[in-house]
Amino acid sequence: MFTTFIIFQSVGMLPGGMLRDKYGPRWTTAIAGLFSGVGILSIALGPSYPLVLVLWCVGSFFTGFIYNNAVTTGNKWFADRRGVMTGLIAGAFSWGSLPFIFPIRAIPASAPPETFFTVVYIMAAIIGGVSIVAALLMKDPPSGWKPMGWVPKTKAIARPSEHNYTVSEALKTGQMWVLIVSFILVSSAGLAGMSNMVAYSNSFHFTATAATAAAGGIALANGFGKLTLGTLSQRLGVENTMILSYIVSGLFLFLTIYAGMNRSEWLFVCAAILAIFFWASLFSLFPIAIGHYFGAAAAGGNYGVLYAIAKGSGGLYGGILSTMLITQHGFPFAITIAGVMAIVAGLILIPLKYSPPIWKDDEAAAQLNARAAVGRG
Amino acid sequence: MDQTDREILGYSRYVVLAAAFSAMFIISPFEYAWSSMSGHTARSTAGRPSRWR
Repeated sequence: MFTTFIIFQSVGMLPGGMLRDKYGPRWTTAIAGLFSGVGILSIALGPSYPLVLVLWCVGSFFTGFIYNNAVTTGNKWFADRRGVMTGLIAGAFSWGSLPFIFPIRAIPASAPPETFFTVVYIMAAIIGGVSIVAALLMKDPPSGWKPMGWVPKTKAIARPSEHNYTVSEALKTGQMWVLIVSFILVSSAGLAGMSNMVAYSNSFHFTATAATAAAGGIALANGFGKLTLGTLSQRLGVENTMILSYIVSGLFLFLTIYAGMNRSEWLFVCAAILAIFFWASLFSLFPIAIGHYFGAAAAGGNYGVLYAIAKGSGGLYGGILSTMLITQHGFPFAITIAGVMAIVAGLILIPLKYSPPIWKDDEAAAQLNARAAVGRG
Repeated sequence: MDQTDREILGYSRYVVLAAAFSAMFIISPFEYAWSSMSGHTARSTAGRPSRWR
């Protein structure tokens, strides 16, 4: 079900983004919130597995709408603070589980199902109710709107081109495909670790406390990684922050293997948390890069297409292929592959630092100016 | 394009931020609470009469 969530949520990002670019975030958020509430409620409707799975997939699909609406709306209103605001909104996706993780883990295995279902009913009611209230307050700014008097002060946040790319224009640039491949690699790496964290900890015979600390810690680190590195990208530049984050994340994944083999519980928990801290930044840095390279007008569609292709593929590795690798070769082998993928994801972004997408009219104007300068010289 | 956020919305753009943050916050359990929910889901649905079949 974890994998079906990743795939359906990712697929939902694309229509969600295109519909919100066309009709605004209000109705799409409200309707998606109701379906998402039904999706979480499905957990309590078994044991008819087909019914549970269908409703879960429908709910997962519509969480993609909410995710895209939230990130893109922040991106459109906060061109002046894109890093911190996108990081904050993306971070909320991680922090929101915390009020539920600890009560759920505190439910003993011997408790009647109704105890767990009560938590599920509460989650479903909150998802439906809050999304309707949030939808009433969400609206897009007019196209091209910027905060009054704001001009980008540093090269790091000034766009390489003023053109607003449509989805098909963005997909015709090589830079978009480099972003897609990098996103596939890094999301596969992190999802492999995150979806299996408790089992990964248990494989080294660590205590239940270590597993809970790692599971809770990665939820916290996940949110703060998005916020901290999103904010940092406004100083370092989005490409530098992405390259640094994914390489460091890969190195910390290797450290979890070392810690496990040396039976060091605290080192394992710290390395796992730090790997996820750096990894999670992809969910704030990629939307920032999309807005930075391709503009705000079709930001929902552009981020939706990147997310749909890349996280869906990442979910396949993180959920299914990594489980097969773990079963056949063990955790250290699967996590080593994940570490290598994260490092490669960072390395392939290096060329983007030197050749960001430039719209052909801007490029032609620059060439004309250069020729004119040579003629004058 | 010389309008402020308050002129466009009738309230601050930070209210939109809070709404986007809240919407994102509530869908988190699908992904980040799943490793904690999966065991209960498997246990509590097994052998239970379905209300919807």
